[in-house]
Amino acid sequence: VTDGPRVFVVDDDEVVLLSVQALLDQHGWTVQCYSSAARFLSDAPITGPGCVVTDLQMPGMSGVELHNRLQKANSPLSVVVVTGVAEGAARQTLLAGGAMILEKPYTRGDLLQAIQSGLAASARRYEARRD
Amino acid sequence: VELVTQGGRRVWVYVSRILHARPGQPPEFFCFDVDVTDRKRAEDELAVRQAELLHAARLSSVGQMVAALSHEVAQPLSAVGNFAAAAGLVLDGPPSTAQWEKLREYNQEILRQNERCGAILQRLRDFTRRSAVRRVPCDLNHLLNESVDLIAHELRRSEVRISWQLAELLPSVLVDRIQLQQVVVNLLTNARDAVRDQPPERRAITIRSAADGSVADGPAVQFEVADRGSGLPEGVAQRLFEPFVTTKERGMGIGLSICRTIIRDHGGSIEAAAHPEGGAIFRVRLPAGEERRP
Repeated sequence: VTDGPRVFVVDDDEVVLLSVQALLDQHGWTVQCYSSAARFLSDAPITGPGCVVTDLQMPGMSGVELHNRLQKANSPLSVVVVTGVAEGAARQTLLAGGAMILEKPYTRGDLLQAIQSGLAASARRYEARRD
Repeated sequence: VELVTQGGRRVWVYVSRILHARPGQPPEFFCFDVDVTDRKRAEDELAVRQAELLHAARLSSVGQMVAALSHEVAQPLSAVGNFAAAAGLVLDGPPSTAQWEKLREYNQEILRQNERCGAILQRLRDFTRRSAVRRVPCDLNHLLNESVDLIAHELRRSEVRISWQLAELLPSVLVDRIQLQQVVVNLLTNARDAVRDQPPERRAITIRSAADGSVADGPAVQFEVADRGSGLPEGVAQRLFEPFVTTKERGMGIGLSICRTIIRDHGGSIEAAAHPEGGAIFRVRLPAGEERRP
């Protein structure tokens, strides 16, 4: 596995994982999928650059908590949170922490663009920390 | 019997014939024919009204399901879009065996998700259809599974687990599948409401099925929906199945009275009991269908 930027997809729905993986794969990104936030935090290389795409509402750990944990761990990863409803408090927390919010229904173009800018921001953070 | 008068009017007639024979006397023959058209009409009318009521209740529970169902359909639809877009990128790129394999895989997924959408809509259509009551031999376990499928998504979103304790080789039950689903969905929705504010370890519903040989009037089967929620308030358990009795803040108190109507109609019984470890258990008994011939 190269050290290049990666896209991590975290969702409890297997079909979402598979289909987003197919899409991002064909756009030339290295994609890794996780069925829960807990699994992602324990298995993924969170100290490297990359972008996390996660659902807001998931059984167990939510997208907000995942984002908070990454911040606490001082991870350079960018976070894109996908949600059906823009809940007030969760929204504030996410935006304050620099996460991007994608409200459903979003287009594939919106998703790709969010990942693109997430990857760029993450790469900048990663480089800044290495200097 | 149904007769037609000379004027072409159809009438229902209760017919009774008695042959009275006494020794040494000619036999006497009594005929009683009573016009029961009005009574029969009233009974038919009642049956129609009841079917309409049950249908209306199903529609109202569908109203509550719609948000969850639309999400359930949106998910495979958006997956289909992603797979199709990925397939488009493959077709635009240079051909290779590996990419060709991917294309095959995406196509299979599109078909699978298409079927999933179809199945969701079919379930909903069946559930909301206003159809004549049709009792057929059903496998109780299968019926319980189908009912859980109807609200699986809502249960998952509320983080409520289902634990199954199904008996194998149960005799079949002679029921209207849709009406029985209506009962199970209702009991499950109540159980979900009862546990959704509980800590995660208590957010579980147990579904049990079993044969029941103890019933005097023939073999029966039973199923239970047990939750570990806040339980039934004192004094409510007896009146729970009466219309407009509710323990919910925004409940109408219709659901369980409809469950009872359906189950009684099927010759069965329904009762509520306190769960020994806290919570409630709803138990439904149904007469077993006659499959074996003597």
